[in-house]
Amino acid sequence: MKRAGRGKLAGLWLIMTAIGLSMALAVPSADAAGRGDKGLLDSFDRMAIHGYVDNFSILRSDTFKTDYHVASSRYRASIQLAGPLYAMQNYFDRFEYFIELRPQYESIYDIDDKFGNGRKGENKRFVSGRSGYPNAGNQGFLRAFGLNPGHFGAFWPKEPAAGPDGAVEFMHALVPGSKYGVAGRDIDSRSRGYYGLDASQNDLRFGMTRETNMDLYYPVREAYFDFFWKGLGGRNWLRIGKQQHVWGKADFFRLQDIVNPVDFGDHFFIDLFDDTRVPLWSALFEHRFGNIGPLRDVAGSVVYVFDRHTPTGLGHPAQPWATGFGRTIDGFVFGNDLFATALFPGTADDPTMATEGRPYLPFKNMALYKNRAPHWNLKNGGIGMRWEATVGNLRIQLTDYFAFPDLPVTGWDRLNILNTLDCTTDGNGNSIMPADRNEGPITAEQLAEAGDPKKFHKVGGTVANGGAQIVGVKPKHIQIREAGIFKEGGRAYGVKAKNRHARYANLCGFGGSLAARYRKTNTLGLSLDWFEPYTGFVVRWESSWTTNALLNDTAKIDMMGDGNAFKWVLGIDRPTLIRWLNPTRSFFLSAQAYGTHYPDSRAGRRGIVSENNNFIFTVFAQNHFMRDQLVYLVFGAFGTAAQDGTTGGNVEYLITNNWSVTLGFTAFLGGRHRHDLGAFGVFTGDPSNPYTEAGFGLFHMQAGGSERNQMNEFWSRIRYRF
Amino acid sequence: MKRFTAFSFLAACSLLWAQTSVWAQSGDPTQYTHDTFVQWFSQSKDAEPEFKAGDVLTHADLPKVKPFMFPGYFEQYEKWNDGSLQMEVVETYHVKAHQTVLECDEKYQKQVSLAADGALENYVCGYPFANDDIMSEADDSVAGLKVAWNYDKRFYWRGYFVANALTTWLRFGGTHTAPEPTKPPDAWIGDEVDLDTDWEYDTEKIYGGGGTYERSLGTFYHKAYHSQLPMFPDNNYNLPENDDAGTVHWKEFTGFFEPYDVRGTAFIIARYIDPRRTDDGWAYVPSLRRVRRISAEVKSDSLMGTEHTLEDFYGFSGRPLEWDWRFWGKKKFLTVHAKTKWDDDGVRYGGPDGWLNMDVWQIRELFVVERIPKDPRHPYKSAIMAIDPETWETWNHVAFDRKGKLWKLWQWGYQWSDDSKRYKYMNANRGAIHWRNVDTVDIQNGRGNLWREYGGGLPDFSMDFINGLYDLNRLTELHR
Repeated sequence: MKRAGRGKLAGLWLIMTAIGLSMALAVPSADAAGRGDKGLLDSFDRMAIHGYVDNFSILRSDTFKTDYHVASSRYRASIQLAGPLYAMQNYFDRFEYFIELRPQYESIYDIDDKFGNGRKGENKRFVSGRSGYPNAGNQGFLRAFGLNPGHFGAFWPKEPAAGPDGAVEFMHALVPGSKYGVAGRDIDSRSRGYYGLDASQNDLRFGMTRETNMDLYYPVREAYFDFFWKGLGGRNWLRIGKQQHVWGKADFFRLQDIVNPVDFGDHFFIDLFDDTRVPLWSALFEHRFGNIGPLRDVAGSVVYVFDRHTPTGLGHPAQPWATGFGRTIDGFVFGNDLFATALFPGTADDPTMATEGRPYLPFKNMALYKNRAPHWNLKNGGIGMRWEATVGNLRIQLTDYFAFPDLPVTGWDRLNILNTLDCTTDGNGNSIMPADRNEGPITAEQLAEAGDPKKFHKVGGTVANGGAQIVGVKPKHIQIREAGIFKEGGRAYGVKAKNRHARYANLCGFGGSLAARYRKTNTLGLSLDWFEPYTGFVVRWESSWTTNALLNDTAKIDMMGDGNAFKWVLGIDRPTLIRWLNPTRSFFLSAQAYGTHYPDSRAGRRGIVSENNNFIFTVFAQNHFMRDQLVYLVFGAFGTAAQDGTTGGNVEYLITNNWSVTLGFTAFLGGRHRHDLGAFGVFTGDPSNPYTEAGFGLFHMQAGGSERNQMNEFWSRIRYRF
Repeated sequence: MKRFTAFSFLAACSLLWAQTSVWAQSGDPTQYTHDTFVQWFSQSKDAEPEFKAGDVLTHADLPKVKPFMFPGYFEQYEKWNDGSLQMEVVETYHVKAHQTVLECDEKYQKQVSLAADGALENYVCGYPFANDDIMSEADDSVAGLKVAWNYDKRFYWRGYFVANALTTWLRFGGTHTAPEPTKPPDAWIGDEVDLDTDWEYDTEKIYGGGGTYERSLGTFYHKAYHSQLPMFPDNNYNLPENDDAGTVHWKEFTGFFEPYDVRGTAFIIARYIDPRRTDDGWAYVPSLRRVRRISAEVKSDSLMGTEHTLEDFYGFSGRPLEWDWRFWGKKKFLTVHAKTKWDDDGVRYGGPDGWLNMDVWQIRELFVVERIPKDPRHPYKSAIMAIDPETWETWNHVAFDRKGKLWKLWQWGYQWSDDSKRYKYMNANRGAIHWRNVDTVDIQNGRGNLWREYGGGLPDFSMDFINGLYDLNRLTELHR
């Protein structure tokens, strides 16, 4: 898939370049007023070459008392070539180009053995940022499969749980590579579970990751042609190539700004979106109407993204800035291979690997096993439009974008249900499987047979739960109903009344085949700004309405629900002179309120993973000193539902026109939030109370606080610009 | 005895007063106050020069110059004592406004009046008030306001174009390397101007003298008047084929293209005919890749960290109603104004700090007017401007801090467009002045800025260009 994708896209780029150059060279240049007899070669006299070279480093700590360490030392260059092309002047008023090459080198993999493949030996217990070292039990578990515990981290190691270990963990890899290498597993889910999990050390070292969309054509970050001409009663602009599209008026939030994903694996949301927004191969056509009646500066544009689907980057777990989401995804993909092998020993994953003594077992999965990403084709691209106009004192922007979202929803393809009476019957001996009530319940005897493969499949194997088999069932074939609370063998098989509706999956579910899924949705956006002269405020409003979005809803048997989502941001900006602080330069002060509303879904610790309504407030202040040689800013964000926040700031000193140094800090504040983990509830150690931060609990995070103080950092950037 | 005592007392007082005046202008501009200027003006208001056209004044002749230069500014030339100071005096160069302006004046000046709040009423085009009217106004504050309105409505053809208003940050002392101007992106300049032919500058000669240059910014600038244009009587003095004419007075486009950290930053500001209506502004911020609505109302804010505030541009580009005005009178100054001997039409710098004029000088009679901010939080206590009533542009102006101490000095440079040796196609037959430089220093901190024009004039851009440049959607085109 990857090689085919590379081939197709490489071909497309080559074709476009060839067409562009052919047109440029084939069409004779004509005199144009002001350009004289300039030909294509004259264009290079007007080429502007700009860019920078910098080093960005992070000093990270939990307490900054004894455990601070360098977590990143990245060297990056950006070389930008831009200028006119004096060709096709009969057809276009202007024909221009822009290319940005952005190679980088993350040296942390070579200067420190805390990251990447440098984690040799079992004594590498250090884990940077969130997560910890696997506990003793899991260390032994890993060794049993021929794995080096030093290559793994474990998140939420202090999760309260019943059981002799006193702790239940979810492990994830800390080293790159194409496989996890679980002994006894014929396939390896790393390359298929989610984007870029199989990145190599060099991919991470040089920033050639899937999430940056620079795994192909590295180090070309952006590259496009611009065409300008008059026609259709106005002015026209066509930009085609690898580019960014920036819509909307909100800072920090992406309501309308959803055409391009962002890569949080770089520096979370601390860096500007300009640096972390991922350019995509796309085309923009804009027509400027000018003034129409009371409307001023009217423009309409169409965007078509024909690139492959690219997700929002959550960070490869071996990267310094792997967020909690990135490590969680790896944890669930790794767990898929590890626990599938542990729980179904002596079986083959692949029919071609089956032998008499090692039968093929289909649906042998326990967690995230597949990324059902949209295939690359022209139909799966994103398409959208934007209209802008000024009406009186308002500048209005209306957008609509129809595309696959850049974050997935995870849902069950099949659930593993323990084949015990209490799981497969309703306490009265009647099977509660399948869901088709017309056929009536299937008896336990019938279940023991092969059964209807369309409805369920006997997975086989044994588990600690009394040697019961596990049956892989399609979620729609499961009835959730209240199971009685009863005891057998001194163990309770029931849940507390308040957890009743999740009882079945939590009590009897034992993982399954979890897939990342995407649904093409439409997002309508509206934003506007106006200047209020008496107060001096600039007021910004942005809102979006996404229809029929796929949502993670753990109250649903397959964990997927549908719903609409309404988001809004209200922001105010004001340059304000605070003379006793700075008599000559105003402070740029900004504040925003952000809200999300899911009108159709139930939320809480069960249900959709975000609250029905949640709010985030941000503040931002920037000022300049020393004739703008010293620039400093501070910001803060706080989420009311999660009660978490992030604060930070930086100071940039422009040493000369070329050199600058920036020092910054970021602090994350927040606590743990737990959410129902459905069929993984047994892994929490207390299926009757199956709430954990692992997985969906993390989605309760609002303003980044879930990263907590384990990711607190000081950072620096030394840059030479040209 | 009593008479002797009284006489002695009076003599002593006179001496003391004279000495105080000398102390007040003792050569240390950091100690000068508003009173220093009041005294200087009072003493030298009717002074006549002891030099004439054809003289070349050197450092030794500076005492003759003193009555004809603002305090503080004069002392900068006193510092220029290495023997290279040569002030070549020429005949006063009188200019006459464009014929269309004169026609507007004749037709409409008599109907213009001031409202109770100071706003103009019944203004159509040209200069609202005749110079004689100003001089004969008994109330200094009303006279000052009339000067302000004439200044606000000064004739600038249809607007102004500068390919690169190269901005340089300087500090007193030290030495420097001359900055090199480059051309702005094609996206801004369009194809209606030819910059290549006359784009030849000897920057080593331009940036002479001392001074440390810390930083330079390449700045593209364009101003387009939309209304009250004398050359369009048949269109009600409005720019033809323009929907904003009649509402908008002018729009400005300022774009920075060098160095990298500011490249692509651009502003569009709209000023309205209604003097009570606030300006509208938009800025494209490259790091955000967005056009942001901005408040253009903090006009006392420094522009990009320079010594200029937004309203210091052109001597004054704020709104007259936000200030109190006081007319001091008419006085002779020794100026570099409306005429140059250099073949690139621009200023040359010299002096120990690298910002003083090296050009031909002439005695001109200027209006001196003081503006006092109505906002008590404004950084300035007041500013004094010396305005040429023929060209209606500023030669010098000064600003005082809240304590009344001299804070900043400006020297402005203008060329009579019809005399331009370069870019004649956009300067000939305009009957207007065109800007070539402004240089300002913060006296208290020993630093300043030079803004020098490269490739500028008063072109007749087509409506197509105007509509295109000021289209807000255009701002996102240039990425870096």
